[in-house]
Amino acid sequence: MTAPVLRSLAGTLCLLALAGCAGEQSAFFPRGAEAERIETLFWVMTIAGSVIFIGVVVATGVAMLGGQRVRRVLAGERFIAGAGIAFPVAALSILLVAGFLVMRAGAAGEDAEGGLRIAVSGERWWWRVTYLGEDGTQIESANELHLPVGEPVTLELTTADVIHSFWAPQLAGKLDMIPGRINRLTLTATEPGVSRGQCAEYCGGAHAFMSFQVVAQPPEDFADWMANEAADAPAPQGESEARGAELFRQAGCGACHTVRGAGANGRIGPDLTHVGSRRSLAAATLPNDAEAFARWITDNQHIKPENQMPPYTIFDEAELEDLSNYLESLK
Amino acid sequence: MSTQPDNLPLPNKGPRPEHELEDLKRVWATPKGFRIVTAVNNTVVGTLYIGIAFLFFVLAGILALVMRTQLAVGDNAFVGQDLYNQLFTVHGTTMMFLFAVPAVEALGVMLLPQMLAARDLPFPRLSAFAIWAYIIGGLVFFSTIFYDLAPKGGWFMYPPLTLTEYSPGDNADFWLLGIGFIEISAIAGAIEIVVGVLRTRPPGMTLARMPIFAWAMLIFAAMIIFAFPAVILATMLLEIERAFGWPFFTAELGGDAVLWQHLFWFFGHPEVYIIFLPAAGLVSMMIPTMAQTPLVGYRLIVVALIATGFFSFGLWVHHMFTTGIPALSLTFFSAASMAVAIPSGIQVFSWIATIAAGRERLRLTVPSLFILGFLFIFTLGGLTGVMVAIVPFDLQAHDSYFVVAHFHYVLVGGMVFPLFATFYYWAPLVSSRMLSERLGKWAFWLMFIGFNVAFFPMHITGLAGMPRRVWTYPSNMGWDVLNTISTVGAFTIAAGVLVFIIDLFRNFRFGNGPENPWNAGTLEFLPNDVYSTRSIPRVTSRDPLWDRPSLSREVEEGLHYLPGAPTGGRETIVTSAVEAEPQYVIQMPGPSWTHLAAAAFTAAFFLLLTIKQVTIALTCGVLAIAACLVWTWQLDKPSQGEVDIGGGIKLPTYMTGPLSHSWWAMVVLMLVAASLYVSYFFSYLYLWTVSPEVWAPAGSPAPPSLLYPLGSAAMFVGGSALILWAGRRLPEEGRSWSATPLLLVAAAILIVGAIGLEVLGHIGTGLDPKASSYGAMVYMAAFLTGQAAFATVILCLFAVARQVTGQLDRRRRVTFDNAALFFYYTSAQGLFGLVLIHGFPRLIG
Amino acid sequence: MRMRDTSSNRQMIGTLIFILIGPILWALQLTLIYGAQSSLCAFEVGIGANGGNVLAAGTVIGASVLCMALAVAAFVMPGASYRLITGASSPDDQWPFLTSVMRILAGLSLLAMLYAALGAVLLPACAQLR
Repeated sequence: MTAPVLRSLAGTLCLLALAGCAGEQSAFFPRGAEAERIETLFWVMTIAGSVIFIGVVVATGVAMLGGQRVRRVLAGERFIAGAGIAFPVAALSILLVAGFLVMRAGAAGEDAEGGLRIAVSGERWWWRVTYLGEDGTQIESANELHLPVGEPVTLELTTADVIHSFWAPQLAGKLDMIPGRINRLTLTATEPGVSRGQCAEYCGGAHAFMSFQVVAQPPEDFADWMANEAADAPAPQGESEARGAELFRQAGCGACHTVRGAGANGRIGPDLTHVGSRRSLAAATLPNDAEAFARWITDNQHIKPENQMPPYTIFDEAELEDLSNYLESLK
Repeated sequence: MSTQPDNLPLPNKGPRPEHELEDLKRVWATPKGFRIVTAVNNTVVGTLYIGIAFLFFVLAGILALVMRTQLAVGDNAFVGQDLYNQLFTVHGTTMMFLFAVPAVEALGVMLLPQMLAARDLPFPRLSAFAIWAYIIGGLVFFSTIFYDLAPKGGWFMYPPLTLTEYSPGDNADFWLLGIGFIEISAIAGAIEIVVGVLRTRPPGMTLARMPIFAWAMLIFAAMIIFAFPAVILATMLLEIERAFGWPFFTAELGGDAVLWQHLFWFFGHPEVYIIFLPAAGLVSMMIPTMAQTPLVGYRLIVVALIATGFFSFGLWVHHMFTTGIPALSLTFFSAASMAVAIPSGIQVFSWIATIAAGRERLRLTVPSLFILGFLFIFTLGGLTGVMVAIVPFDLQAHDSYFVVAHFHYVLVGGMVFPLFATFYYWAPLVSSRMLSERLGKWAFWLMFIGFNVAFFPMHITGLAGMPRRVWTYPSNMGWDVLNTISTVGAFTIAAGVLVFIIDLFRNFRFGNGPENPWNAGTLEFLPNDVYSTRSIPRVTSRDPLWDRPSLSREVEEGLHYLPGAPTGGRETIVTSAVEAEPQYVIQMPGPSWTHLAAAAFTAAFFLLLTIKQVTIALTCGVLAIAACLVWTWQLDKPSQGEVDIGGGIKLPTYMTGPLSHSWWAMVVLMLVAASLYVSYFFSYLYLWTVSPEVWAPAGSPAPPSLLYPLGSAAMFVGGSALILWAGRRLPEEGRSWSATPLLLVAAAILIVGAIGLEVLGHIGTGLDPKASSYGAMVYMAAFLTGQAAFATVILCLFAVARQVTGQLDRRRRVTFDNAALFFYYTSAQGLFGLVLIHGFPRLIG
Repeated sequence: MRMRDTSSNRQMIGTLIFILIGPILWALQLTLIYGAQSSLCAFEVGIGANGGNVLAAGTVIGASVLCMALAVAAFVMPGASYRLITGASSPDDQWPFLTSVMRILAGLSLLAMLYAALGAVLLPACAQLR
């Protein structure tokens, strides 16, 4: 849908701005149906706007510096009526209708029935993600969204506390999560890849650290992933992991966290059943490795101030390593 | 241009007797020494007002520099999360409430009387009160940032984040009470400006000859009157929910967080234009001078200002495109956003046309530079404004740095640049020396370049995915370089502002500057002194100083209207609203401690309430009311008979009824109260559509027997009848005894009884305001009318006291008329409330 | 000096309202269409397939046509409108200014009303379209 010309323009613009343009969270590099429509609209408006802007600057320049004759043309109510009324009316009318038509295009995805549904709940300051099967099964995960490419997926957006806003710029525009409401957003990923999203409505405290990743996969890869995600947590393999599992149980981590198949049923914090397979920790704040787990457990209030998990300094270094290895192994 | 034949003889003959000038100087003298704080003269308090607004600009700007330093690179820890959240909340709140609105209101206070050649605004103590309330409240609010007490819910304060559950502590209350109180001060100023512009113009200055700035301020004030009550209601609801748990915004109990957004943005979007319109008005005044030619398209600019004022009220959902409202609703607001762009286009091209029309080329003075900078920046901001008005694009841009870039372009471009142009252009009105052209050019270029360097990259940062209101970001996102550039730009702007401050210190000296240094055509450049102009000119065109070169001399020699102080006090001419025909001479109060005490105690009341010192707060509240009573006791001076203002015109010095300025001010005040109540009405219906399940009769106790509302209604109507009767029984002049005081007291008792009965009825049904949003809304109706009734009772008792002391009679009756008007208003609002509260549940049940 | 609007408050305030006929009608239209459409959608009255709602769309278009017709009437007959509102004959020397301001404002308001009604033709009345 997007003209390649515009795509390269976006690249040039970013180069001009000397930005690295990592692009994972950039609306300039759309990978979803809605984001692509919006990007096209953006470039059309930007180019038209630039032309108008240059026109105004030139007119001002002529009014200041032009010869008597040119200036006299600009100096009457007819010029104002033409440039200030007739032209804007024409331009704005076209733009308004174009905007409405782009909105109407959103209806196509919305009507898709029987597609995948995912409930996403914003919580201070992470995302509870629940895959809703057609048969009523619910598979819970957190801070990472997997989507099959090319299929419209309906997100049911809610919040557990304050207002959040779900924004994955490469896929679509944002939609708020408001207490007492369910807002539905249809995402259609158009190409495979990992992109990043972030809470866009200020939600207090650690708002800056409320991010997530979206993994768009070919449908068959998605089905494999889903099968794994639906399964219980793997039993600990090595000795260290087994000790870690025991520590997890003893320290009462299960009061807040769920690990399916390991007897941990807490609902306060993120589900950790397959935490080791995710791409990041703490709502895309840390990389996912054993060292990050250890840092998070002991020092999370410095890494992500005000988050709801207290820091645990009760473990010695060896215990911490076991616990981290265990969590890391929950693939 | 409409110019009347102007060969009429001058209104007064010279030379004038010497005592006239001495009288004027004595009557209008500014208090000396520390007593200067009691001054009410618009040039004195106006300058103070602008100075304090500028101070807040600098302070909030410093907060911005701290934030920009933090954001200069990713993963930075220069300031922590909690402090940053306070910083951006206070930056936004201060810039909007303590700088932008007060700054333009200050310009109105300072410049309007000069442009209208009035001696002062019609209610000098009211504007002084508003200014002092703002200064005290604003300084205390700002200082919370130093004690870790500052609010951190963002300047928009969305619940539920700002409810007690998620924002414990007093931080959020400082915002709610502090800002609520500053809004009241803005409304006081707006009433002043409406009446000032409509009724204190010089004879002959018809609507078609009004300076554009007066038009802009008239629309500005009207917008405040309709927009601010919405946010006042919102802050009341939120504070009541925080303090007493009435669930207006809690979804589980039938409230709705989105209600806040509706109310806040119904104020918040017009707010942007409230800030921009006066600035645009100033530009329309300066460009003709710099081009030395009358404004091209005066009529179109008037139309543009009015249209902007209206259409800006149809944009509020523009800030809520991502809340999940049905698409068609969004299109209504997208449509209005397109419509509001056209008036801006009209203004931009009118200014270009005026520049082109100049006899010579545009003079490139410092004001001209700032105006050109404004045109450049504002046009760009306007174009991105059209972009974000298109719903699909806004879904990406909303709450990203793109929007940060957009509104800084609109607000800094649209308001701050014209403001600096204004400082340079109008400085000679209050400073004996002009500001430096050399330093001004440095300030301009640093600010202009710095601004674009700081804010242009943010368009890209935002679409590259950076959300607003984040205190830090990971440095692998590709946002670092853009942010570093923005930070460099921010410090460049600061350097520009610093150069301006240096210029102020070197050149600003309070006093009268050179006469008409720019060769402008409008009245503010007439020779000025503490009494404004020596005589009030007869106006026959839009640019009187250009069209009648002898005008300055004639005015200075006292050959126009009202060359002295015939009543022996401060006074100015009141004219009709459309044709500006002289109607009467208004007697105005002078310096006083009373409004100052009222402001201080009102501020203390609100602030002490914030820190839950209820007893001392209430004491201060009572003292504030007492101060107001002493202040108003000194007003309503008796008639001094007719005075001759010249040109064969003899005017009365006392006016009652619909022609008096006090009647107009009361009507404007009633409009404010009515807008507040309409916002309430909207909220009631809105919450019903969101949560019909908690509404009576199905989800809450059914309303009480109809006898309660009927009894209440009978008391409202009966009270009003007593007031009507009391008006007929006012005593003859010179007598103080009649039935009126007794009738006033009886009416006051009835209005209190009406509200008491209403509340009793609901308590009887067991309706609990904490149980559901329905219950909260029902008691809220009585609360709002109770508030109005409280004021009514004070007005009634005040009138009683005036009559008993012999200061109220059949002729001198403004005190009574005001009480009566407000009594009727309160009764009408009360009756409407009864119909709503008792009728609606029966209708749906 | 002659007394013109000086004697009558109705004429002073009426003149201001006369200028504002267009924008006032625009405000009326917005209130009507937004109020009707959002409450019909909130209570799911008249909802059809795919979030369409003939009742809501019809109300929007009907209210818009009514308000726009009134604006056109004011535009065409400024003298009659002035008399209706102020109860006085038009003031002579300011009349060209007052009518032209009123008419341009009415024109802009007509455009704004047309824009607002346009969505009802192009989009389903109650769908979120996300």
